[in-house]
Amino acid sequence: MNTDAFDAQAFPRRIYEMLVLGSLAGGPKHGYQIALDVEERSGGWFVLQYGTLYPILHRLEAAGMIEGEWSGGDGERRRKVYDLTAEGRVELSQGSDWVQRVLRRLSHVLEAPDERSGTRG
Amino acid sequence: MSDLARVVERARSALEVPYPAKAMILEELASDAEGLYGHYRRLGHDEASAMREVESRLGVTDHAAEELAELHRPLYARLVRRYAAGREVAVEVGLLLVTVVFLLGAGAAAMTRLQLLDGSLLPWVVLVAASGAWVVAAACSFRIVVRGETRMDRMRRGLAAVPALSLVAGTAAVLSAAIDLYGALPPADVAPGRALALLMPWLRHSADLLSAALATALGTGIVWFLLKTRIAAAERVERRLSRAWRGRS
Repeated sequence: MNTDAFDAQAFPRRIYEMLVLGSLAGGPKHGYQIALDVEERSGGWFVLQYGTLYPILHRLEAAGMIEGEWSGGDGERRRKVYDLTAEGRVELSQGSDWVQRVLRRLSHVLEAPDERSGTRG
Repeated sequence: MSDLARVVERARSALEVPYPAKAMILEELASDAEGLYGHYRRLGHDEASAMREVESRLGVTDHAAEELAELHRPLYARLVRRYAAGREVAVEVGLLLVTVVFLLGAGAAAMTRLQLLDGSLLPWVVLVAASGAWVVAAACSFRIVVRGETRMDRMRRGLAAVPALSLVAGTAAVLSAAIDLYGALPPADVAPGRALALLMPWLRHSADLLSAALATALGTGIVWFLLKTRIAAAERVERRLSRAWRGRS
């Protein structure tokens, strides 16, 4: 059995993790700024709701891929700012390769059989 | 209450995450709600429309609540879910019974060995109150630290009983020592030459009883202080949250 086989259940989660890491590669951000940045950069394609964003942020933080730091205080609302860690950068790089691989294999499967044989021939 | 505060209050009721992590999540949600609201206002949305956008993005779904609860679930809760799902209450009642029996048994054994349970009532009061203080301290530690408390209004439940029971144990120990002393003094008065020999049992008995009460007060006092510190940290975040909301209501 191929241990590197595609895990369809984990796919959406990994994609969202990549989106968050990709957004943070551009610099530290608050949670809502990450959501807005992802939406803007994807032309409105990816919309991160609370239900998607916060579990991902907390999971990535627990895994050491991002770190959250509280700023402000003294009667003012404290705000949490997330930044990418070195581990997160490695994961982002590997994740980007993984996404490319998935897309390549997917398009290969989706190609019409005659196109595929044409390519081979 | 402002509309933004309502978003956070809804999250508060939906999230089954133990404190203090829950307070941190709510604070993060609150700051993001304000940031997002400001963002939509700057884009030209009116107040109602900006609020609708915030609610549509930051509303806590059941799925999000479950995922966050899973992420912040303490080790004990994970183990119980894995090995004894649906039997949480039975497990906890069992643990509580074992603790009560162990503490009462150990206390009674130690006091019997030291010949403190001599038939008078007060040493029994010390035993029961001291064991009670340890049981309540253990139960509160279990609920707040090991299992994790998800409701702020339940955080302090039972905690006041710890110093109260310690105080009862200490008072009973002091009373017992005083009563025994008054009992030992007349024979010592009659035979001053044997006073030390007559007072020695009282001295040993009182020292042991007072030490047991003092050890209970110190031990449970430390547990009580640590739990209070943990609760105070979560309450600080909650106060900061409500103070900031008041400024925006």
